[in-house]
Amino acid sequence: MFGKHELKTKFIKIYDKKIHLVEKSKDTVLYRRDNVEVFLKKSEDGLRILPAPASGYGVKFLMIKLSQKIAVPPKATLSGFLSAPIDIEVKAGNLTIDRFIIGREKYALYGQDNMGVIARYHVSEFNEREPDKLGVMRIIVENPSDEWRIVGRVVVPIGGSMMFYSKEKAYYPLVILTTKSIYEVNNTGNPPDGRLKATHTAEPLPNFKMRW
Amino acid sequence: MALNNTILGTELKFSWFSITLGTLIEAVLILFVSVFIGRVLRKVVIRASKTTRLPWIINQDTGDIIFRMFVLGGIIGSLYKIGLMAYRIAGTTVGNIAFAVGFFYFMYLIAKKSKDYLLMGAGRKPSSELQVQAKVFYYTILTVSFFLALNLAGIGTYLGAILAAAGITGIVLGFSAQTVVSNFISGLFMYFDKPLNIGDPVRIDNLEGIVEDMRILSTRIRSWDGTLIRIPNEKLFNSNIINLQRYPARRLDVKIGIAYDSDMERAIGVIRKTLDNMPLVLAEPEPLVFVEDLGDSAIIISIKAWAPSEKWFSVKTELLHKVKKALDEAGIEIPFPQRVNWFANELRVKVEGSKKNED
Repeated sequence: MFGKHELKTKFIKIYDKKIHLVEKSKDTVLYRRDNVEVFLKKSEDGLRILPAPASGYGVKFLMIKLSQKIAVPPKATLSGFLSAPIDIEVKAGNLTIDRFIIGREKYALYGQDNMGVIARYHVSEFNEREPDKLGVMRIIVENPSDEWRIVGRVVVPIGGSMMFYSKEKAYYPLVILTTKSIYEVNNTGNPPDGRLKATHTAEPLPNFKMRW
Repeated sequence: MALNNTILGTELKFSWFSITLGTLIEAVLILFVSVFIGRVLRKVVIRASKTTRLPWIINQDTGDIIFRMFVLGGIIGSLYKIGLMAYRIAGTTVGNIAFAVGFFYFMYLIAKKSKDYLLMGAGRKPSSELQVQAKVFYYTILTVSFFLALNLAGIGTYLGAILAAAGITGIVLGFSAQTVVSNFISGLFMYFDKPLNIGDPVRIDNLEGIVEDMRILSTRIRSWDGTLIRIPNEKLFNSNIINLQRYPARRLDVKIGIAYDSDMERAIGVIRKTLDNMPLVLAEPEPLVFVEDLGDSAIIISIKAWAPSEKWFSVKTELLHKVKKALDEAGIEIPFPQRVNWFANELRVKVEGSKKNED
């Protein structure tokens, strides 16, 4: 599913969406997805189907609400996985010819109504093992304080973030949540697993302080 | 070597000044090196922000300020090298003025950043007292920087004369062009007050549209039907300005009447499910759906849901459409206004021609 596809007649199913490639002539292929159609001249580059951060209509944050809160003892670290929504980007060479949302799309306001941010919203449970979901985020919760800390949600900066993928699954970069007096989220930009491919290279994103 | 010296010494002549090729290359190098160092330092600061214990000082904003300082420094350095900064204007040099402008700009950035951190350090909701203190601090820094910049520009000694001249000019203008000056002053106040920015959708009295431009004397609004509205700044300043997109989220208030014989709980459930299936109805703050009133003809159900401000209109139209459709599909009636009349005495109906028939 993810990765390079040859430009020839075929169906590609991605979660709840279908991409249809139709060879129109020896040199051209029609790309079709829902109402989107792009006429492509064949090239050795082929077509790349890549996961993209779930920025939806253009938001820069992803808020994952935990269905069960997690409590971490002082000076302890907890590592696990969350399910996460993803978008899909279809590229010919470096040109994005289509971008779409798969699965459930929902947004929420993080913060106060006069100074918060709109974030993509998702509910996930905390898994100690990698869940069998299309989009996965590996998270490490570090508690450097001398008190127990509780985590009910994670707000991750995703604007322009790179993604990692295997043939069947998409992964966000490793996220480290540090439970200082104001929780701080670091989208490290590092792969959660060394065997995964990166969608592109990008500058590291600034840490995000969860003030609310 | 001699050839090199000859090439570098080649003089480029323009109508108003001349420069050697060597000097021009040096100027470009100064600019290039400054931008390069600025970029490197910006990267270093951003990387350091991930591990620092002083995130309020070492962060992306600081990196950006350092980068801009180096770029501006490079531009000024290059212009000095070329010799453009030595030109004299009004008893001072262009270099002094450029340096003063640069100084004021960075003091403005530092003051703004300090004000923001003062407020952020106060936790979730800074008190109004702290907000006032932060503003006083900000404007004090700006005022002091302004006068320091005037000194750096080399026109500080003329300050008294400038202020006196400005006062006299103000009086003269005040009498001769009261409306123009009033619009100008209002424009200045609007600039600092910032109730709206270019691109904001706004409602001003009974006018609505997008702020297209903010000029010295007037503000231009592009109304929803594509016409241009020019509002004098004085009038705008005295109007009630409603900025429809100042905050990230905006609430939708919708009321729907259902028939008295409908199941209220079921209707609320159907509406909640519809809202949950709409991506742009925000999950947090959670939408409220409740019975607001028992009206004359219907049970009034109120919906209060939040949407991203820039999507508010499309969400509202979609919400009305989807809620109506969902209620129809669930067999819940949205009734017409109706009235039941009761009569105190029994009604007698006289049918025309009835007596004749009896006979």
